[in-house]
Amino acid sequence: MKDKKSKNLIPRLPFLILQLFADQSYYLFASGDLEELYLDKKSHNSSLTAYLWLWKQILMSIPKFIQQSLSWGGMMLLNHMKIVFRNMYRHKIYSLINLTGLSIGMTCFILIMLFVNNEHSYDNFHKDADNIYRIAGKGSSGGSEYISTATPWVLAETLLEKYPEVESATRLWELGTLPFKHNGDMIDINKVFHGDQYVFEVFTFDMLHNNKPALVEPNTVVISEKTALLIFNDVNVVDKEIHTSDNTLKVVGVFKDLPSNSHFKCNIIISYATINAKSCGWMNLGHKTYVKLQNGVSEKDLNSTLDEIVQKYVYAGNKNLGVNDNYWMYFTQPLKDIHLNSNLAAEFEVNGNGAYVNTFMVVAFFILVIACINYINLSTAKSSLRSKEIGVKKVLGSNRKLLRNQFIFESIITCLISVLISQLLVNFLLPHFSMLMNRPLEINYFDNYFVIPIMIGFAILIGIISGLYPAFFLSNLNPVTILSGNQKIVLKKSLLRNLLVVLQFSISVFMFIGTIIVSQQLDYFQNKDLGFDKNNILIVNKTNLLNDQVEDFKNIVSTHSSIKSVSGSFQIPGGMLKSLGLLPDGAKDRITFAVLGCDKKFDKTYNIKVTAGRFFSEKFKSDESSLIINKTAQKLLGWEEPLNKKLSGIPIIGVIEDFNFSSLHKEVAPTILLTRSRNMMFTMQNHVSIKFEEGTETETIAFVKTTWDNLSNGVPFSYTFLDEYYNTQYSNEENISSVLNTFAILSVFIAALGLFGLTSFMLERKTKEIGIRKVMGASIQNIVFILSKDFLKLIIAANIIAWPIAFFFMNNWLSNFAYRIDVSFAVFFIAGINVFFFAFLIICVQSIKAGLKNPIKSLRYE
Amino acid sequence: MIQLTKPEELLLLAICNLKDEAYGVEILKFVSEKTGYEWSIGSIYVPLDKLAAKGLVEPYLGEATQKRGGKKKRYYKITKTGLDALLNSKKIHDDMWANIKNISI
Repeated sequence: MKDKKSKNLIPRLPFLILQLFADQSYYLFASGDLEELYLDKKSHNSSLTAYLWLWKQILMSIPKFIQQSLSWGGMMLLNHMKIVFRNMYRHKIYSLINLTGLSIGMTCFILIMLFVNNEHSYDNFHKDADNIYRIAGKGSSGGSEYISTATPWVLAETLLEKYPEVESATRLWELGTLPFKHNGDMIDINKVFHGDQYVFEVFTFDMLHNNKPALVEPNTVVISEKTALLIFNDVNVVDKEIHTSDNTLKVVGVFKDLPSNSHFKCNIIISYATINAKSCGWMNLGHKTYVKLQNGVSEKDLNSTLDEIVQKYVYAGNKNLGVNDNYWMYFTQPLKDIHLNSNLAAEFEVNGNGAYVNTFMVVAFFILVIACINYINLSTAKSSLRSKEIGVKKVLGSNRKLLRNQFIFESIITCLISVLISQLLVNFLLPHFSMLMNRPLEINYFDNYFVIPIMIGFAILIGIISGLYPAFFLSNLNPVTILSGNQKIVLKKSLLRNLLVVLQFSISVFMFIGTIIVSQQLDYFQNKDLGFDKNNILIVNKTNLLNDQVEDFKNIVSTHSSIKSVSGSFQIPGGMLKSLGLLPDGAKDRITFAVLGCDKKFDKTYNIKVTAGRFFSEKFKSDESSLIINKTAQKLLGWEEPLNKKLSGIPIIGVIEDFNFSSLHKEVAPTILLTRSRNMMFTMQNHVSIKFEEGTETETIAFVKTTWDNLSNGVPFSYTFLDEYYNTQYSNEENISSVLNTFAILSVFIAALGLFGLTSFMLERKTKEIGIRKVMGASIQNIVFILSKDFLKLIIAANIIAWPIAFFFMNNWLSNFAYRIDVSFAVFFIAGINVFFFAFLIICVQSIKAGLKNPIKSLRYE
Repeated sequence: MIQLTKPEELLLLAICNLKDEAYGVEILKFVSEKTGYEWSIGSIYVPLDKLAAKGLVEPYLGEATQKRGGKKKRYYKITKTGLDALLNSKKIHDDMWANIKNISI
């Protein structure tokens, strides 16, 4: 017997492969045929020939089998669609819950990703954007760091002339808001810049008239489409003239407004030739330099070039550098990185925050996960409803593979429908969301060829992922146990399902906690006592241009009834301070202080407390050569009695309470106040701060403007409100707070939706149990308790998991801020209670409904 | 009238030729010999499956043999519909060839 068998041994592997591809209905016969032929061949030729022939046969057949299953599949598709829709209609409520959850989840995901995409897309519309870099400077002088985008005017020129690896280099300088003549009146136009002729080589501006604008000649200008329409009501304005208060400029080009994802926006660019910028040497900073490198030149090359330049020009002309840790260097910033990661002094606009953008992506992902978990849970829980259907199908000859595919198909269809619904939602919500995030966001289906396929692919992917587990679970149900009515086996507690619910609620609780803490911190930022009063203060900018008339200006302004106090200073809170190293009495080394130059009314205008000595005063002429320190400085010096001690020979006449000059992101620096300095280097009054009565903005502005116009000799009036200016430092935190607020609530909602579905099922299956309990005398409360006990345990578990994780992450985030709230236990408790309560409510409602059912009816149900 | 594809036509002809011996192995051998290249098992069964679905052939089971590891044979018999389609195909064929007695380019 054995011998015969070994002679007729047939290799198994080829047949396994055949089985994989061939259709069930004829596999048996086909394999039989092949066996026959194989043995035939083996007896006539060698074993090897037969074996190779066998493989050849099978491999040749595979394309045909694939072709067959595809064509059969296509025919089945329509049939399956019908079945899917029929199923969805039969279980309306649950289908609705699934669709809602998935749609909301997808909508959130899409909205957030639109924002994330926008953040990542800044400045990418410039040609060769990867080769464009901004050059910034950093250095240290007198012991403190200085890092800024301001570079000297000659840098770009030097690079262009002497270094061929730089294809082009340009400078930009923002002037701010200037008045221009319009219809006999003067109107203010903001975002006025100076630029040179290479601006259009480095950056890609969409010129409307396709001429190469020069900006070489003095008194030439290019304007944006918006500006052209504003001034001329026309866009064909090349060679026309616009007038400032003291100059006439010829328009040499009109460009399309820069898109919103640009780290700088401009309306007018005036040629550098118009002003005498050439006279500025290497130490005069203030211009922003951008370069475009030749293809193939790396950032490293540019950096070494910059090192060369610094040594050659900057160090050579400045004896202070290179000694005592004083240094200066230039470094490069890739253009596309600027928006996400650059936060230097003198940025054009407040930039975004790369870390936050990543957080948003995580939030989007979480919400999607919650929605998918819902689908998985509901589908598997639904099994009791589908069990009969599955049982019958199996008995009639359906196999696991088919059923599995059917369920995956169902879930794909559900996801496709959800994607469609979410498109409607996205389009509806996008305007509001755009406003929330302070930028225009839109979704174009036909602009990029891949938008629609990606959406569809996305739906299919989610469908497959969510559908896998339910498909396997459902197709494995044993028809015998189901049809024999043995419900118990199907009812077994699903560990996985419970884990998923816990995961959902953990995520929701985590997001809830995050939301509360972020919003608390934001509140703290906006309301914390800063040591000065930032409300109702009008700032007039560029008052240094008034020169000697600054005092007259301040005096006249302070006479107005709505104005409480006026003061001039070098810098206003929210801006950056210069630093200076001073030698304290009896010390060996200099200490670096931040320097604020201000006049004698500064304390009154900003409501700053003097804790020792006095503030600068008119009465003492000697105040002009003395200084005031803040509490932090005093601590640093370690002097109990600082009054009359000296720093580099200058006496201290007063100590003020610390105030947060920069945002609460940073610690208060040890600061000195001066009222006079050599060459006004620290005490030039660049800004005048005007404290006005509550509610008198309009008349205050009007009066100040008139006063300004009378004295300024044509320099345009430029103003801001201090509180707005100061708060722009927190715009990123505001963004993330808004996002979290909205999406945390949504995530709880979706998770609750899932819970709702789950409880409905559980309760339906327990109808008999409830009926019996009622008959035995249980009250509604008892029933509610028994039914909800299990779920509530899950929610508590979710909290236990979420709290420590949330604590860790939020602490981490808060450590980025010098001034932060303490994470109090109350927050966790509140978040937990809220989610718990919400879930409990849902479970209660369902349980009460089930508990109120007439036991007769439920016991009759068999 | 159902139009047959060439492979389908060849398979039907094979079945007619083989009469009672029309099962996988024999069909494969027959068409491979007649057309001159070796057909794969897939290119036999897949079209036959389609033909069966359309009702042009009727599969029936034969006895199991030791040679096939105990598996049964599946025989194919041509149905009336199949025969009609085959004859129709032949008619079209003959019509088209009718006026091309001595073909040359």
